Amino acid sequence: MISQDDILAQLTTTFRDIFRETNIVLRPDSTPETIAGWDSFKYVSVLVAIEAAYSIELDGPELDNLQNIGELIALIQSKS
Amino acid sequence: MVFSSLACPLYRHYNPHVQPSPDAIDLFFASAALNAEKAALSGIGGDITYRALENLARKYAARFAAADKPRVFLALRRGHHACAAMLGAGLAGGYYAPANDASPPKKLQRIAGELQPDFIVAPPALTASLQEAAPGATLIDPADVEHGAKLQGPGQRHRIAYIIFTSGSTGIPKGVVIPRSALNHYIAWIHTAGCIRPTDRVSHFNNLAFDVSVFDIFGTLCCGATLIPIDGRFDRLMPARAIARERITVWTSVPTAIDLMQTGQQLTPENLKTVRLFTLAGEPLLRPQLEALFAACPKTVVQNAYGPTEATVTVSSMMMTAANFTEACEKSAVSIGPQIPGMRLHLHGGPHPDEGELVIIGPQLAEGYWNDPERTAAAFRPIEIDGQIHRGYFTGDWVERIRGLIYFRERIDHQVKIRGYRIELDEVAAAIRACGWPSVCVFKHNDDLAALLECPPGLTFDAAKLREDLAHRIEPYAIPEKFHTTPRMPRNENDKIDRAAAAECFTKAQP
Repeated sequence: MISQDDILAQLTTTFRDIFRETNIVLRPDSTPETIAGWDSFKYVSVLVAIEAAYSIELDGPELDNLQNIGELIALIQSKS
Repeated sequence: MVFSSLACPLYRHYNPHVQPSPDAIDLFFASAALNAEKAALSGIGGDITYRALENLARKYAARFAAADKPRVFLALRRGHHACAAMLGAGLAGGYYAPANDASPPKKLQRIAGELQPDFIVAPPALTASLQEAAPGATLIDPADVEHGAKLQGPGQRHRIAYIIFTSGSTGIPKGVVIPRSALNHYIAWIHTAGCIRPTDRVSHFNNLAFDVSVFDIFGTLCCGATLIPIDGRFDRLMPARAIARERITVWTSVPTAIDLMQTGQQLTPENLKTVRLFTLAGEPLLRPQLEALFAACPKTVVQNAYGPTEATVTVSSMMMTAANFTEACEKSAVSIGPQIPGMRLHLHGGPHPDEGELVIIGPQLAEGYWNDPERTAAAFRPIEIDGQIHRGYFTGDWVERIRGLIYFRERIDHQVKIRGYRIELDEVAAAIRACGWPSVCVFKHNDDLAALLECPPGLTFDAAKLREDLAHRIEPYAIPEKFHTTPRMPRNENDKIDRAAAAECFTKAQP
């Protein structure tokens, strides 16, 4: 299983690419409210990048309940 | 013309030219009688049959009937409780005002304060602040209604069907009062034009406070079709996957939802193969969006539906196929189409008969604005056409007729004066869109003209090149002095460009 730290590092790179912001620092407790410039289009781009990077398919109920980046990492771990 | 092909018996001998449209509430109960065990709503949470929805509507009606002509404020998410409460308000001889439950609490409070309803239907998390704004209202928790008594019989009808509050330029929401006769006329058009048929599975993507949701809810439930609420966060981000999963046949949204599908790489034939009709409304539809849709779904039909809330959702409709849509395009703009039967569009005050402010006449006009006679008198005015006086709604939309088709050009209140020149902001925006920047907002910044452009990751913006391109399209004084790019244009709750937020974004970057 990929480690939490590895996924966090990969996600940080993904967010920096999509947000075009090299200073983004993700933490397990990061939420949309703490990430400047977050909107639905960027969220979709992040989801598409995650599905491609980990060869997984995300779906509704599991995504609807996510509260923060830590829970997103746990979801990726459980599916990959 | 007799619409005997429609399943509902109330349409069996209906002739729109000689009789009033059937009542929407009666249509629902007739559909429920015909389709008792069929799913009225379907989705991740399971199915709600027409019988169950009718029972719930009658339970809401019994609660509302405690007041005479009940005025009902709804702050509910998409789903069977919202639909049942709307139907129940009508059955009980009252009317409803829907709000977007995701709106900021202060906005919900302002609307409740303006309305002073008899009833507030909302989840417990919202009721305390709403009660503060409307202390005379009775609070109804949807969870309590399931176990109540039912109102039997055909009930009564109020002349008002609903009030939708839209953002006012002063920051105080305007309540648009829609009469039942206007709603009935609109519903009859949805059905007689074949927009929704009894066999359809119709998306409910639009929030309740956005009047296009009337198409979704009443259009579906008044003809025995099935409504599919798209309410979960993931489904709203990845709508094409919801379309595929739920086998949706009629999709309705603002055109921006098509952009969202593209961003999510979901605009694929496999995802969209069940959709026979895309109804796009609420903001200008652009040719690139049409091209993307038809590339993925060459057999579908796309409807560009135009209409202000003040004229009950839709007054004109352009139906397009992959084979003919280019005939309805002028540069990047898409025609808003001909008027729907019974309504009339008049171009007023332009330099020639094919250009002017769009004035709408016909049975779908609102009564006016809630408790605001001055604003009502300003927007709904008599107009003389061919020697006859009509009541018209002056939309503030400047339009042009080209080769017989009407195209939206700009909002009249989007005109500014810079260094003595009168500049139409939407004309400048249209020119920038035609240069390859589809999402743009133009405004006056200090004493200059400024533009905020959406520049997605991967694209490079070259201001000098854009200025050069614009010089071929608009006068030199109308070329913005200042440009700024953003990865994503700010948009409001209904996914329309938020001009105030766009200006704020620009000012932060270039004070």
